[in-house]
Amino acid sequence: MELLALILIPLAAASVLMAFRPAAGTARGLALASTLLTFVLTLWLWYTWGGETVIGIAKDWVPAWGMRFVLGYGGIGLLMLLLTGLLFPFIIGTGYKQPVGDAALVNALLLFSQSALFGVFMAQNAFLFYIFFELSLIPIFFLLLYWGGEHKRAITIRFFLYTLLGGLALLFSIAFLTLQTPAPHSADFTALAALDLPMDTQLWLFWTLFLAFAIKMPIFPFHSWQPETYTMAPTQGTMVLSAVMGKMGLYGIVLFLFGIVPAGTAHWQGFVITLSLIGALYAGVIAFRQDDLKRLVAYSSMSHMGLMSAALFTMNAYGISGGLYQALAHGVLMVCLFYIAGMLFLRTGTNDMGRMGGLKARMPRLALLFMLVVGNAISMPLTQSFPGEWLMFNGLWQLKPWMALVGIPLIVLGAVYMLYAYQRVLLGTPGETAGLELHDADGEEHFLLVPLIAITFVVGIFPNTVLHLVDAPVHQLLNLFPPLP
Amino acid sequence: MVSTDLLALLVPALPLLGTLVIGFGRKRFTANSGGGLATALVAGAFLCSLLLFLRHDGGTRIVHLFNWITLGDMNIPFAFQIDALSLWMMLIVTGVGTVIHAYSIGYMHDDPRVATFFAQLNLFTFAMLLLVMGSNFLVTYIGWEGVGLCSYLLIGFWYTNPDFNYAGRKAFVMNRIGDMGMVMAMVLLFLQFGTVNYVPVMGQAGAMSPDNPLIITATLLLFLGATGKSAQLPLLTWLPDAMAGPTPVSALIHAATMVTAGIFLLVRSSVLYDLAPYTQDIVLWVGVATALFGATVGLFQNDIKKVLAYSTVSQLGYMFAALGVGAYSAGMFHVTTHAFFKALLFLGAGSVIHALGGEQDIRKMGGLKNTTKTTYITFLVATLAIAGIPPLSGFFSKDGILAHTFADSPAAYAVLVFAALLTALYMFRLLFLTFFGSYRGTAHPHESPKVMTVPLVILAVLSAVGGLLNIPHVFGGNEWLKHLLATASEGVAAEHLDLPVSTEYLLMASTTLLVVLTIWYAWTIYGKKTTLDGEPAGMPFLKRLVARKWMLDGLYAWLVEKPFGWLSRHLFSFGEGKVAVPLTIGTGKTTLGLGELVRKVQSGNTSFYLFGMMAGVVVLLLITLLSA
Repeated sequence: MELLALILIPLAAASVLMAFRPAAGTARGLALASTLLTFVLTLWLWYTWGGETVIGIAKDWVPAWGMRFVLGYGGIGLLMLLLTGLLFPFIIGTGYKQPVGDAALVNALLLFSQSALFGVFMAQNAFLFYIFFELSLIPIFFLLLYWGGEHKRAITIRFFLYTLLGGLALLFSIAFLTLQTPAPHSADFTALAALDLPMDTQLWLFWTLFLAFAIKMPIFPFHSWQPETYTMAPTQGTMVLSAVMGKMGLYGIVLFLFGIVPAGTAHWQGFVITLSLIGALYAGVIAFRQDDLKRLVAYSSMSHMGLMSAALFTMNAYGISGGLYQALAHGVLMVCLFYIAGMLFLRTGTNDMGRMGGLKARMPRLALLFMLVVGNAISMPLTQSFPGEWLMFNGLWQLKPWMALVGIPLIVLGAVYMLYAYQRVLLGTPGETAGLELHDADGEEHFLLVPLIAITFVVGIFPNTVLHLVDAPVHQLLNLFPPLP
Repeated sequence: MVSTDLLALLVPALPLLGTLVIGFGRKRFTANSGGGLATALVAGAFLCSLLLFLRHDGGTRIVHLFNWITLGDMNIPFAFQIDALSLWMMLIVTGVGTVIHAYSIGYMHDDPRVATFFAQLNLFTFAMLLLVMGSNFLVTYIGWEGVGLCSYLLIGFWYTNPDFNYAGRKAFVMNRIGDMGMVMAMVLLFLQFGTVNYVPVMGQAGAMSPDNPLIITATLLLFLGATGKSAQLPLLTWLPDAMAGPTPVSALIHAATMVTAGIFLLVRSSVLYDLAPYTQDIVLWVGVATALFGATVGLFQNDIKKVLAYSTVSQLGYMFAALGVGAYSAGMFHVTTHAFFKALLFLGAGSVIHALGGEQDIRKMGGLKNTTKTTYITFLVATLAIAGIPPLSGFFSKDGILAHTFADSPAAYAVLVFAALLTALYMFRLLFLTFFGSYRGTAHPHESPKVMTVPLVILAVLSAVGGLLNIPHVFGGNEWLKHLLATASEGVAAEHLDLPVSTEYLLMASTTLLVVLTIWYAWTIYGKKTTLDGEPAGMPFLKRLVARKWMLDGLYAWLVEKPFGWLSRHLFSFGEGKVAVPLTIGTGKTTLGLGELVRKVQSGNTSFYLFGMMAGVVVLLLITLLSA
């Protein structure tokens, strides 16, 4: 019943917000309460988890198509549930200081998205997964379309088309897979994973499945919707996209590609890793010269996602565990970075770093918070990002040393663009916006950022709290893979 | 009795406590209270280290705190390794650190952000202690990155100056370039040995045959990390720029401690290096080349701190040369004496800068020996020490390196001796131009307060007598430091020097004589100078090349920085603008056509659509639940 509650609580809260359209304060309060409640629920699931796959609810839905309503979770799903549960209170909380649009509507949209995301990470039936996968995005379209920045319509369209493309490929693949199961057909993941598909089928099926997830993360060259969308979407929308939704891609890779077409995945492994690493380096280089802070963060996100994708596709314990661990770290990081970009926008009215500079003199506390986040962004040891990076490079080297060697310049690129951005915003001689009335980070903003930063240190010092979630499930996965040649 | 484990824990914990207390209370702390607390905590760490050292029985003790990263068969503990090597480094870091912290109380007295300064200085000390105390590569790497970040913060401490910020970033990024090697080496060693703990890694590696490609790769990668942190060719240009930081920072981080981390790492891994003669040759020649590079460029610098910075680069080169010939204890000995005399030189320079109200250009100094007497005398001691005049500390430590190099590679020896003469030349040029002749500036020189001069005197005493730590056999000594370190390092234990005693005497005597002659030569040129050479532009080609730092900065700007900026801009404008977006789903005709579709959606009432969406889902859910 807790599982259903995870979907229904945000859905109910969103419905109330839509139906009664309360004032901004009430709307945010309700949304925050709802997300905190679901967060506590995910913590409860974590606390009570015994290490096995839990099926919470299983009902027939449309038996003729193999559709069943099955919710459950294993360690990897639980990690994603925790990610969603943890980050949404902060995303909703962002609205307090950085409001956008009609509070009731915006919060309803966010909650609706959260509900679908919980569904994605609990669905144990491929059709169900697909429905939630698509539903989760629709509210974000509206956020972008109504409250986005420049060229919002063109950007929304591009984003929409991409999603449509990936989604259709996924739907087609699921239908195809379901038909391969013995009658009565079932789209349950257990049934699909039991399929022993011939190699030539796996080879093309890999791509129709991968397309949806590659777009979602996104991975070079399927990324061209991402930078503009992240830059122009309202901050909360960008947070949902980068911190949580991108992880649907990683999760989908594990669930579909590793679970159902392992041999096909093993075949395309080298190609996809190369693509991911190229994309990571490409985005890391581009990030350096961006003037728009949000766009810089967008490219940095793409760079990090590229490394995570490469690590997953190593299909070894270190790589997969590192990539999944990093999904959580990256989510926390993205909320922090976009929140700080939002704080700066609130004060200076711009995201253009060329117009900032020397702001530290006026906002020393904001500078300290930003520096702590930068430490996590550049994977300083004892912050959350470091253990993930360490594991991922181990995974890459274990597969092929050259892969680690191609990826390792990322640790330099990250330092190059993040420290440059930090300098352009806060250090040096005062820029044109330094003359504005700038007040330092206030109590409310500390209330949001300090817990997140504390998490980055606590997990960085005790990463095992997260790693133990993925340890056993990843080893189960490894048994599925064909023996290495 | 306090347990050994608790003492070991206290050593890094005390400075960390200082960071937190002073950092969070930075509005309430003054130079005296904040600086006093910071100094006291580092002094406390020194006392704990000293106690540990006195109790040390020559063994290796692992202080296990908790399991840091555990996954499957990977278990990386957060633990300290207490042995002679780490204890020795802890003593240097906290000992010299205490003195420099105290000095900073005077030097930074009037800075409005003095509390922040001390919080960061304590944080640095904490990170440096993790670096030397770690029981495995990864804990060392925590400190390794931590000192890098503190270095970045402190170089750019006066953050309104864009050049200083650039210098800070440059330092961090060049260090990170080296860190690529460090990370890859750790990965390689872990995947090979299944652990990154020093003791088992060295144990297993020791059983392998020499010239194993794995060991050669690992040692080369580790050395890349060392070249970044310890400013060796080709990753050295950040160190002179790092002089942008406050002078105590230059003394502590960029002379006495952090930059010796690379040497420490190689000594820690001496088992690996002894198995890789190929890498050792590279270490030797990189060290020799860097020693020469620093010494030549140092001759042409006019900023008092830049002279010392190139000198540091050069002296670090000596240490690596020692490691390259397997003389690990000689390298560590020079780390020790260099920490004394170079910290002293920097603090002395700081005292001069303080005396002249911020002036750093030696062309505008001169004649200060009368007005800043304590500074002058201590600076003289340090200068004699670094020049290698017996019986000061530098003589013994440099002689150890030269003797071992001579036995291994006479060619390298010749270059190092030449660099030693240059060292005497640039150091006495600095000394004469600063303290002799007549004053060429416009300020009103005055001696620094006691809180600054007492540290100078302490370091001067150490610089003078530090040689006693490791008196070689030819002087009837027993090489105390070497025997101490031999308990912790197999590389040190395996050292040997096959030189006839007469040869050793001859080498020492000839080098000393040449150095004395060089000092005399320096006196004839710079002793009574009142004006100085012009700018590099007017010099002959070779001289100009050296004065312009062998064009290394320009080379990097042309080969790396500019192309990188170009690439970043063009990947964005061309790669993203002209290829990625148009080729996939662009803003072109497709979009316009499909735009019509979306417009229809958009023209409606949002709430209506959202309601429709949610209603659909709810209905589906209800059907499901009720159909059971």
